[in-house]
Amino acid sequence: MEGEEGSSNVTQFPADSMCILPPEIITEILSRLPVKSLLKFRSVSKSWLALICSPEFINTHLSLSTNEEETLHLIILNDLEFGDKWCFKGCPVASLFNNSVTEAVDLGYPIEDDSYDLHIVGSCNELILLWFYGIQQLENTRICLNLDLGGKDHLTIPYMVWGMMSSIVIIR
Amino acid sequence: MVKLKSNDDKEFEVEEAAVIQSEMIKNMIEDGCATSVIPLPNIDSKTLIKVIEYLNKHINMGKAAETGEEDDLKEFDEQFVNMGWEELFDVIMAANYLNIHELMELCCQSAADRLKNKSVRAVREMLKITNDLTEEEEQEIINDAPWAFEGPEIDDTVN
Repeated sequence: MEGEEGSSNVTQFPADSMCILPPEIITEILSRLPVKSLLKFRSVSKSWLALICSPEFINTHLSLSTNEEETLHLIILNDLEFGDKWCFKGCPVASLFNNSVTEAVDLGYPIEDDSYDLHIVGSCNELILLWFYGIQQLENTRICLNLDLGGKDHLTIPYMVWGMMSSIVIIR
Repeated sequence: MVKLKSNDDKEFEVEEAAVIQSEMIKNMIEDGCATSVIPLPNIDSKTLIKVIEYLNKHINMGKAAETGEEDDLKEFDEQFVNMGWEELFDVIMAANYLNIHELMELCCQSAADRLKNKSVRAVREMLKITNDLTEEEEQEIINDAPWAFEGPEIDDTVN
């Protein structure tokens, strides 16, 4: 991947000499895959890795996946009082208007320990920014949670990035 | 009627209302370049028959919503993409060349659905891709999100 940057302002992906489909069609197909599959298929070849990680591809993928009604989530945070664990549940906003009964789906939860306080700071592009506080080892931990992956992947945000991210989230 | 010719020299007559779903042919007709037979050097007759079948079925797509035929069309689409992997690729290539947006969408989504749960090895084999990553590079990608490579849904078969 090194050496590709800077050489040209148009991103060129090396074509697989053997691949039976041209790169533009591979892009069309891959942009319709869920994030989990894309993370897996980064290891198919160098050109797939470069494609899937490119900002152009990420933008195309995001605009295609947010077009689907199902991905417009409403987030509900369960209170400890009502269950033995914290959990996030979500349902499509549109279903509240169109269906008589709406089922909320469990979106997963990144951390096993549930004995601390949590705040949702904001969200954009299928990511939720969370803020935990009140427990020693997790004190003031900020977590960025990817909704598309059912809460399976999360990043702990360093303090410096935190201020920047929360202002981005508020602007969005 | 518009006449289309496949690369194996077979001619097909298609209604103009059906064939203008192809942006490419629509532009040719508007520019007055479609007076006789339109040669399609990239498409064989087997694939062209599939494409024409799709065009004819979708000719009244606007009307389908009014007459309640949407389900019928959906069922047709599901049946339509129920074809072999190589055949699907041929249709995708043809839809891309002829610029038929809806058909492209349908077939690419079908290809994505088929690839979704495939193992990395299966994908390489299905698309004839040579792995040019080093073992270290590959391991690094796996370590980055190991759970993406695991799970009962991972399918290692090639079809």
